[in-house]
Amino acid sequence: MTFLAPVALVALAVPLAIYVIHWLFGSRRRVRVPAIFLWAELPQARTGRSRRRRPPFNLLLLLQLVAATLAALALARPVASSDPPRHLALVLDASGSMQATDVAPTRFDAARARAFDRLRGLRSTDLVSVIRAGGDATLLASGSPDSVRSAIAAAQPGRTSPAIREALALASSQIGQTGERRGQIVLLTDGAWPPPEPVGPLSAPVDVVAVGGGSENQAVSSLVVRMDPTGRGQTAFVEIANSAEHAVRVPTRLSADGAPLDERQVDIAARARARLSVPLPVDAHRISVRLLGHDALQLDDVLETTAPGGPPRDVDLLGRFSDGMRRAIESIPSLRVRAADSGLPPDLTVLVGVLPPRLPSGPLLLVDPPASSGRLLGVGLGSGARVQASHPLLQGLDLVALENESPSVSGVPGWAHVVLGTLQGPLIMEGRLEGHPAVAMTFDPSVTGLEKSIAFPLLVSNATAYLLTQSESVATAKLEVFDPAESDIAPRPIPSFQSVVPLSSPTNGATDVWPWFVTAVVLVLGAEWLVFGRRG
Amino acid sequence: MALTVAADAFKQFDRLSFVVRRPARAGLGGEHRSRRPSPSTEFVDYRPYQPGDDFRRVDWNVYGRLGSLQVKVTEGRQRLEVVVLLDCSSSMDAGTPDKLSFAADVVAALAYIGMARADSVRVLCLGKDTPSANFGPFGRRSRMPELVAGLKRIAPVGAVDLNAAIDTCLDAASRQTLVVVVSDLLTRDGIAGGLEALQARLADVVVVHVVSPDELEPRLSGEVELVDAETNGVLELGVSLETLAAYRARLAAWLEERASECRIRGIRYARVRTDRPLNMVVLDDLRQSGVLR
Repeated sequence: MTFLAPVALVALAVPLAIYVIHWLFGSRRRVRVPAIFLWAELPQARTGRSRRRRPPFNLLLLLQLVAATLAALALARPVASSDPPRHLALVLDASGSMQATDVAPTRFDAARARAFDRLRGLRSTDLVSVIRAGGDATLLASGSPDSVRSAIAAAQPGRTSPAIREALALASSQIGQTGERRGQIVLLTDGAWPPPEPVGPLSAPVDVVAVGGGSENQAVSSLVVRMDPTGRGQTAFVEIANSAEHAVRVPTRLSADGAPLDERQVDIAARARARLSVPLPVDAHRISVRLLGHDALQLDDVLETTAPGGPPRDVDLLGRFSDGMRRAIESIPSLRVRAADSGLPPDLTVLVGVLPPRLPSGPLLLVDPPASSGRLLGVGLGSGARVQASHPLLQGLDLVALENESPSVSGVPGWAHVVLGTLQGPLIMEGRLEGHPAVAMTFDPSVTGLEKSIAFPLLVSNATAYLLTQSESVATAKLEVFDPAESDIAPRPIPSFQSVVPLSSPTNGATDVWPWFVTAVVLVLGAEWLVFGRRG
Repeated sequence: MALTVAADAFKQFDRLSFVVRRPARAGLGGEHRSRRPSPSTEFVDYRPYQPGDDFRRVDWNVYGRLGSLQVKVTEGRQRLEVVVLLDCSSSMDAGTPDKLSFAADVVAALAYIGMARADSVRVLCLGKDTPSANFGPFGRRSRMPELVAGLKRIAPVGAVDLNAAIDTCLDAASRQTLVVVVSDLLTRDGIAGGLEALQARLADVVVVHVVSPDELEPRLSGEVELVDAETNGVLELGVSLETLAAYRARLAAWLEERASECRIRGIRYARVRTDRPLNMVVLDDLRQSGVLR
């Protein structure tokens, strides 16, 4: 037998108190005599010592103690367990929205507390699996209720959307491995995620425990900085989203390289977005936007980015580069072509027609790389026939100018993603070549006359800007990127999950026996009343 | 609950009989002397013949020797009417053994003795208004099991006014009977009224006072609540040695009052303790008190 409310066992002090009361102020011993007139007005003992004697264990006192003890035990909600051991899978939603503070201290901490509550109702023979639903589903711990407490305490929320589907599938597989146990999946979440794709029948019923529920949040959803066409300045394009159900006015501050540059009040309608553009000096480099108001989720109140402006970057031109290529590089204000024998590592290296065995440091722009190089060996003929029109490399570019180009490679290397390609092979690829951010143009622009078109400097400009941005984001690549979708912290309708076993009540398998205790208390009190009535 | 002795245990009392101070009048056939001269074999005296006397009673041997007619006077033997009054108040349901069970044993023994002498024995249990139980009259020992069965069923009836109960238990026609009162006499003012009512009916009264050792030597100490067995009245008391000494003195005086209450009225009084064996009570205590011989 276990107790669901063991704190109530402190009420066991009541029988002790009853006995102490009897001891201190207790009832006199009742003695039946044939007649009391022979005892009337006799000299009496005047000492109070006899009042402190230990009270005799008469039937009335015994019944009182039994009734009080039974009542105290009933308050502790005793349960008798007769069912097989359980396997409880606790799925903790570790998405970015779980860091919202509309539930003190955070939604995630509230979910953690509810998880501990669930552990209290388990027996030591039960099994618990703790699964973290962050960017992907992770099994944190599996074992007895006491052994998983540390894992739950150490779990932290992330910055991405939750992998609910994967987490439920993992929980189902964990429970499926212990078929002899009665399984249950407990999903502790704020519900701030779109319905996942169907999971299929799960091996255990899902009990969704909701935490939080507000939508009071504003976020910097987008920050893009572009160089002005004149090359004399930059512009920051800021987008601020309001997920609250009412219009708000948000104080917003834009800083460049740590110095406040602009501060304004932005009015945003309910569940809408506001966009604004802020002119920046040409040398501004690190740009950040911060919302100064208070909302439920502070994680998305700041957004930083790197502007194309700033001090000129050193570029090394290596290989069989043409004058058109050099002019295209030199026409970009933020780039400076330097002497090849400089000892310092360049910010960007342009390799034309060559691919040395030892790659230079920093990002690489590969132009017409040698097709015989092993680094360009790819698979899947024709698999590169695609166009990512929204990719930064193709922004503002007239693709007609490239229609005459023919790729020097036919397959897609493992390190690269195709940005623009034909049935003959990829034309423009990007990726990370041996750790270096790289953009590859698999054609010779000087052959078809592309160098002399207006599209070429724009293509080069896009490629160098993209590579420099990629290079500067290497330092922060290991950090989990905040998913803008997590800024909408309002809960969505939670779908029902199919299970091969129906959902049972939380106390199923543990039979409440407190009604029996209460019945016993009533019977004992009735017996006490009868005894008292008979004694008069 | 009452009566703890088996019926065959009374055979040792076969030779005992009641001591009576008045002639028996319960009819012929008994073993007690009668005041009435009647034809029988029990010779008492001679007297001169008077006209009308039965010639069959003339002693012709005396006439031959003395020359005068003398008639033999004989005396009839009558049965004694014995009424045993058993106090069934709740105060008798106290002590170890309880006084009521012990008193029932004594009543059964007295009834046996009466039946052994062919007396007419009735047993009345004193109740609140009328006798709570009435057994008899019994005239033969063969009916002893019937009495024993009846005594086994008696139970305490609560508070009993002894004086009123004794006064009303005998009907007006009962006269010159032997009345044996078996009681603890626990009334504040004694039972003088009841005894005088019995004597007014010319009854020969015997009081058997039953006392318990728990009454004589109570084992009490500390704070107690004394509950009256009859009235359920409560008396809170702090019992000390001084209290017990005062109680014993009061009890002794009270017992002496009850004894003198009987003595001054010519009533035989026997005090018996419940911790004494029944045969010793009957053979010693009651004989020494002049109740039996």
